[in-house]
Amino acid sequence: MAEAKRTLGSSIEWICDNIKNEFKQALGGAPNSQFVIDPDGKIINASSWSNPTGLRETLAGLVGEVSPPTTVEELGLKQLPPPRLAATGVMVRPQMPGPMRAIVVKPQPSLSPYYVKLRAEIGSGFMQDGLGWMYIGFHLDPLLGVHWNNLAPPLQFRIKTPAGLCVASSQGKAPVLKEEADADPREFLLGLEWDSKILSRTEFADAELILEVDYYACHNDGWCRPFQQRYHIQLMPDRNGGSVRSRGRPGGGGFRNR
Amino acid sequence: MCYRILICMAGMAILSTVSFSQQPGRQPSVQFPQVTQLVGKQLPDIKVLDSQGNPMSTSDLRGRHTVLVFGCLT
Repeated sequence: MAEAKRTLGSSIEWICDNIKNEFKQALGGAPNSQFVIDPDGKIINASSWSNPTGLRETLAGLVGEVSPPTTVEELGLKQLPPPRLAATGVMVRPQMPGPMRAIVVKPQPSLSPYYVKLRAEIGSGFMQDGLGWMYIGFHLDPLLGVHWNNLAPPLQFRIKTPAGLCVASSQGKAPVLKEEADADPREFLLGLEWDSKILSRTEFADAELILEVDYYACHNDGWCRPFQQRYHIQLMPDRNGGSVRSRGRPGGGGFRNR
Repeated sequence: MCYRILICMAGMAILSTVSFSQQPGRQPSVQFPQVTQLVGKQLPDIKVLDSQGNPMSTSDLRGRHTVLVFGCLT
C-alpha cells in the first residue's frame, strides 16, 4: 500500500480491505463506489461509481459552497509511475473465443512474493455445456518492479484436474521472445471438459484444479531468480474478479472493472 | 467541520492479476443498485487495515464526516 501511495502521490488516508474483501462486499461490491459517512456512522450519500462533481455538490450541501474550490493541480501530487525498464507490446495476446468470466484463484502459501499474479476465466456457457475454454494469464505485478528474463527458460505451467474434469493441455510453455526482457503477460487458452456423471454438480462447486508455474523474474534493481508458485483454481465465478475490456490488442493491458 | 477522505483498496486487489488503474468517467458494464440503497443505513463494522498495516475497525471512522472511495491499483 505504501508503494501504491507513492505511485499516486497521494497524501490522503488509506485503508485496506481484508483479504476476503468484506468491507467492499458489505457496501455493495462495486469496484469504484463512493460514500459520505456522517459522524454517527450513517451513510448519507452513496454513488455506485466515484463522481467528483456529485461529491462536491454533496459536500457543499453539508457545509456550504467553498470559493474558490481547491483544484487537483493545486494539490501538487507527485505521481511517479512504476519504472518500466522492459519492453511491452511484444507478445501477441490471445483473442477470447466468447464472453468469459473470472473464476476463483487461490494462491497457495509461498516464501517469496507472488511477482506473477494468475488470472483465470472460463467461458460463460461452460456450466451449461460442460465444454468450453479456460483462460489463464500470468501477469507481472506492476507494483513489484519485475520483468521476465527471456534469456532464461520461458514460463512453464502444469495443471492437475480432479476426476471428471479434463483439460486439453495439462502443461504449457510460453513462447521464446527475441527481446532479452519484457513485461507482457503470458496467456493461454485451454480447452476444458466436464463430465457430470463422474463429477456431480454438488462436487463441482468444491472441485479444485492445481496449477504450478515456474518462471524467471528479474527485478529492476538487478537481481534475477527462478520462482515456483502454486495456485488452486475453482471453476466458480469470482465476484471480485471483475471483467476485462479491450483485451487482445498487442501490448494491451486490458481494462478491468473490479 | 472536519472531513476525512479515505481510499479503500480492496485487499484482493493487491494480490490480483491484471494491470489496472481507475479511470474517472469509465463506467462499469455491471450496475450496482445495492450501493445507493445503503443511504440511511449504518456503516457496517468490519475489521480492516490502516495504511501502516495495523488492524482497525470501520467503526473507528465515526466522530467526523468521512468520504470513502473504493478502488484498486493492480
